[in-house]
Amino acid sequence: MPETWTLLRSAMKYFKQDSIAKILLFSLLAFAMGCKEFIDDSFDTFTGVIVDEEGQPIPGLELIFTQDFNFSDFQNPKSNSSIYTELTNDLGEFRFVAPSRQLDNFYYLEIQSPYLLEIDFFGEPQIQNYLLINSSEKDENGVVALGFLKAIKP
Amino acid sequence: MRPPYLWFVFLFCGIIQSTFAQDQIAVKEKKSEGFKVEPSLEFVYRDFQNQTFLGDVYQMDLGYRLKLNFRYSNYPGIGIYVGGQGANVKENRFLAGFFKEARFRDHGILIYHKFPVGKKIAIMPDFGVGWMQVIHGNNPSKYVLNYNSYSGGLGFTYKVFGGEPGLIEGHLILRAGYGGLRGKDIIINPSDRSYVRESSELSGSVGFQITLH
Repeated sequence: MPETWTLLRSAMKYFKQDSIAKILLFSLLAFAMGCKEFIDDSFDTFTGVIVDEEGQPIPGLELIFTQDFNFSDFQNPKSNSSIYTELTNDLGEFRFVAPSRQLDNFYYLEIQSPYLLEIDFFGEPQIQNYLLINSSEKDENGVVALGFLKAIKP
Repeated sequence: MRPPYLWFVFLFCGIIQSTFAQDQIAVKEKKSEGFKVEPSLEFVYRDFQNQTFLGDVYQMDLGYRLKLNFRYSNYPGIGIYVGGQGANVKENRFLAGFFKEARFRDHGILIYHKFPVGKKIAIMPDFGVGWMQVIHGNNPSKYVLNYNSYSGGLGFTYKVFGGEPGLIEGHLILRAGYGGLRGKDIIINPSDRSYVRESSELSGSVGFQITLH
């Protein structure tokens, strides 16, 4: 305990002497107080259409929207829990909405078997059962349009 | 055969005529003159319109509303109010399961008039504009949705005590109201926009009002 007081006294003495350190400390405190996780009055929306290999929409396909994804089985990663579990509509469309966050919002979209998603990975097609999505490319309405996502039966 | 709503029009005209007559009598009474301050506390229950975001997502608890009204003699008065209400968040497809509870906070201004009906009872219509916040969570994970509101209501007051010049009067209040809510600054996809931004509410309240002459 005496060591803590000594350390605290030394820190205070240092801050009294060094005005730059003082400014940095107050800036850090102001930043910490100003940090808000969510953006008020704003929702992010992730939309897309699931299509088959012929480009036809797949209705009634179960999708899991989550942030809790388990990669321990790297060949077959699975969601631990879901934020939303929904079926694509008659046109193969889906729409997931969540409160906007200050930093980019990362989510996983998991597709249920027997389907897998064909993802464009730096120009190479990659087959996997999930898609990592984020809100960095949203438009002025908060919409992230994922476009047509090809689902295949391996 | 007259349409049913005509009976309401006749009834309303009758009430207005009666209350204005009472008003004229009341003006002659010395105790009715002068500046009056009328603070009140009401316990409020409100129900948002179904098939709107506010109506479908929140299960409202009992709330409160504090008002501070001012009027001169028997002229219409002006008031300010603040209110609060808790709510449970139901399963929904907008809040991503981040929040289980929400707090509603509202404040605004209103104009009102008090029409005496007999010695103890008065009718008190009001119209107000205000702001409502729906607050989820706490800092730094607080998430707020802001709405503008306009509302109108009809209250009935019953004098419980007082009435002599210079004395405090106490009134019981029973009020029913209707209001519209618009969250015009809420950013959301066009398909869900009107569902989330627009709603209306029906409210009922009971409370107690003090009149200070």
